[in-house]
Amino acid sequence: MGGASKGHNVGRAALGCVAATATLVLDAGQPAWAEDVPGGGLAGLAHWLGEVGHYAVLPFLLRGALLAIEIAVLALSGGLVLGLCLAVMRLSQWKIARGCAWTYVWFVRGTPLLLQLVFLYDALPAVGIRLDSFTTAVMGFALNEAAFSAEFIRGGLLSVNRSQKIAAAALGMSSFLTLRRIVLPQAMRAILPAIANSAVNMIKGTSIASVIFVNELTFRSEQIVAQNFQFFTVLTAAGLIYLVLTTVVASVQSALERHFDQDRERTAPRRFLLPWRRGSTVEPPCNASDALAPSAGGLFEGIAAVDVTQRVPSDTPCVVCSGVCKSYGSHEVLRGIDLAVARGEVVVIIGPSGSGKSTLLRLINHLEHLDAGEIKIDGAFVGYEKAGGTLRPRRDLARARAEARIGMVFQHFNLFEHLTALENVIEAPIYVYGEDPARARAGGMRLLESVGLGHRAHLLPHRLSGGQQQRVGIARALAIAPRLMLFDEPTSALDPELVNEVLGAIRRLALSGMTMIIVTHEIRFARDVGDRIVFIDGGEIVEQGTPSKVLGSPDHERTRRFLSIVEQA
Amino acid sequence: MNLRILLAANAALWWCGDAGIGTALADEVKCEPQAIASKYPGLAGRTMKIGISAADKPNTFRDERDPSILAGFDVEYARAAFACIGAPIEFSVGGWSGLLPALVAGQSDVMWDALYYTAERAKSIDYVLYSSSRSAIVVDKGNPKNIKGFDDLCGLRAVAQVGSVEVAALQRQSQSCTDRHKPEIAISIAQDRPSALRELQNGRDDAYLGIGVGVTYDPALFEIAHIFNAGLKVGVGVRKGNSELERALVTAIGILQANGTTRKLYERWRLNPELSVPAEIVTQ
Repeated sequence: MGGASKGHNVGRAALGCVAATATLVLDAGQPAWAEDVPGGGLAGLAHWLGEVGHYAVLPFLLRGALLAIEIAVLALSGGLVLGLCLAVMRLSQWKIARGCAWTYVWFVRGTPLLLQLVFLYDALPAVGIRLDSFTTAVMGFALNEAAFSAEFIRGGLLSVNRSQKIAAAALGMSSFLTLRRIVLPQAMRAILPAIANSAVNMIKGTSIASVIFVNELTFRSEQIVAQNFQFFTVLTAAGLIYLVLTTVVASVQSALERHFDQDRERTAPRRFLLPWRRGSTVEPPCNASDALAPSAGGLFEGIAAVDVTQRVPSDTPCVVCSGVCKSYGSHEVLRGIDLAVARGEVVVIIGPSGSGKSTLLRLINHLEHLDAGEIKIDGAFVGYEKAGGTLRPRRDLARARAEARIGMVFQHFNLFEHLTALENVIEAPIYVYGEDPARARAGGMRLLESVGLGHRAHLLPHRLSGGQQQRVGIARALAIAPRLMLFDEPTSALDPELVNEVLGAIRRLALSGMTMIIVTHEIRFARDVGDRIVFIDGGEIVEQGTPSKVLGSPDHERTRRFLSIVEQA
Repeated sequence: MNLRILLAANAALWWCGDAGIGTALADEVKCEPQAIASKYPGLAGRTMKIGISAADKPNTFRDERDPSILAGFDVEYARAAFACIGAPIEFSVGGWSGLLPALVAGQSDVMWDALYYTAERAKSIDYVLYSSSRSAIVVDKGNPKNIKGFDDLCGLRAVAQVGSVEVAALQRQSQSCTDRHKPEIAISIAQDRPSALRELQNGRDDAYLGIGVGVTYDPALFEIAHIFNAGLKVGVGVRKGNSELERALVTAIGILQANGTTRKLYERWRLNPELSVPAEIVTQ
């Protein structure tokens, strides 16, 4: 019913447009039209349309269109690549990179394109560089486009949630890998419309290059008009040709946007050969419900048993923190933490918010830099080197994190939003550790099944509940065969009824012998799973010991006060 | 040898119509394209690039049936001259405002598109003069505003092409109008002749100042109200210091003018052969 009336409206609008155009054309009072349309009336209109059609398929003009396309395609590709580099430079930590990129954008964006083209063509020969028209046009447009695309690409990159980069860093992904596989694909949704705009503008904007002897469509039209003075006829024909070209761009844009659309259900295997889309085989849906598989414990045992550092003597503690200090500006978050975690031990850290618990975790896997003190994992620094008595962060931080194999589970899951559950799990094994994709996929499926999500492997994170997402997060951390697992308030963001499924997974992991540090508010869980409880308040360890000691009969007043508040909730 | 004396002799021969007089001189009147390597070694083995706008009927424009063919008085003149020299050519078609900078930068070898000589332009390029032209005040057919001369333009609206000598004339005239307490001329600058003539057609301007060649203007729509600047010299633009090319051109054009080729060109394009000017190099 609604569709039929919509169709009527469209029809009426189209009829209106045709009527208006006809009135314009047939109005004998317009000398310009009369010039082009011999005799008025319908016959005149038909004749005029015939003339337009003649020019619209004229090979001379079509060759001009082809030239415009060639220049636009080459210049856009070059411009986008350079623009991406400039955008990354503008977001770099090094001042010189930021400065150079900003200067380039400021200068090239701020001067007229016409001036830039004429400079390249007519001024460079003075220093011995003589380029032909086509090369000059491609170069000029590409360099100009780079300045503009640098900005909208930068905007797109900034629009990607920070949590995505944090998760990628925790998995040991380098900045380039993170950009290529995580940030850029998600930024594409914001960037694609701007790219299509640039493409359309460039196809039409090549006309400016007539001043450097590029004979593209508009200039060719002007040359014909200089001979026959039929401006409207010829330029309408050129306009039609441009419309066809830009429609092609618009369709490509639609296709690409559908491809990058995260909201769309992916039912068929992806056939695109873009670097972010490998073809995946569709696995037959499991009949298993969401229940946890009974043999899961065996899998976790297997993971914990993978001792990647067989060289380390077994009595070396897994984690040793000595005198760890961290401040944010003037605010001291951690004031000298000394903590040792033995292999296979489960340490639960509790404390009021703002006490520095999460900061400590992030310092352990070097997501943040230490201000003072040392942290050693299995006897080695993670991404630090000793230089004259002080610790200095290494240049290849991502590699160091990857070698350290520390799995992290986040309060807000931080799953990669553009990848399915399975793809999230196998991302690091394939791209950081170079595992064979087929083997990684098989291993990933086993991990997902062990957390009870085998039948949800091909869903995107936004289609999963919070508890399911967190379990995928656990599987993803486990996929790198970690020697240590860090949990940063894993259930704080979950609805109460979903908390248990996650705690269950963590419990089984603990039972299988994984070394774990868990920051949590769940006191009952702490008592159940922890080998040792550590109470941190105001940046210091106030008290630590067995659960029965710390939770049952704490020594310190502050511990007692905290526990009474928490257990009331 | 004094080139001017040689050319005067050629002109004399032309009027006599008797190629037999003075066989020594008659030998100079023939083109020798095959001898380019010996006569102009710097030009041999190169394709000469000729900068034109292809938007300036009747001098350089695109053929009406097949626009991939270039046509026009200057196009054919250039083809004939370089055929005489013996160098292959290639036309570089570009927007008018870019033609001169391209010549100066060396991106083209000559500019051949009804280029008027002005002392200002001669500061950046050299000329080989070959023709003359004049400017005109063009109005709608019927001359509705009754414009007979420059003074009639005071208080009216006029248009001319960007960078043309006619723009300067308009500005001078407007100043003269205001000096005599008459209203100034509202001057528009057009990108090219078709857009300027559209201004006339749709009544936005009362007069167009441009080339004073009658065939340029459709007699059904326009008429020439007044001729001025008679004696404007037209030349081939050559980069300063390119004396070998200048020599080759002045010799070749001289030969063509002597043997009647250029007269035929003028007649073919319905231009007055009296406009022809003896070939001459001008450097300032």
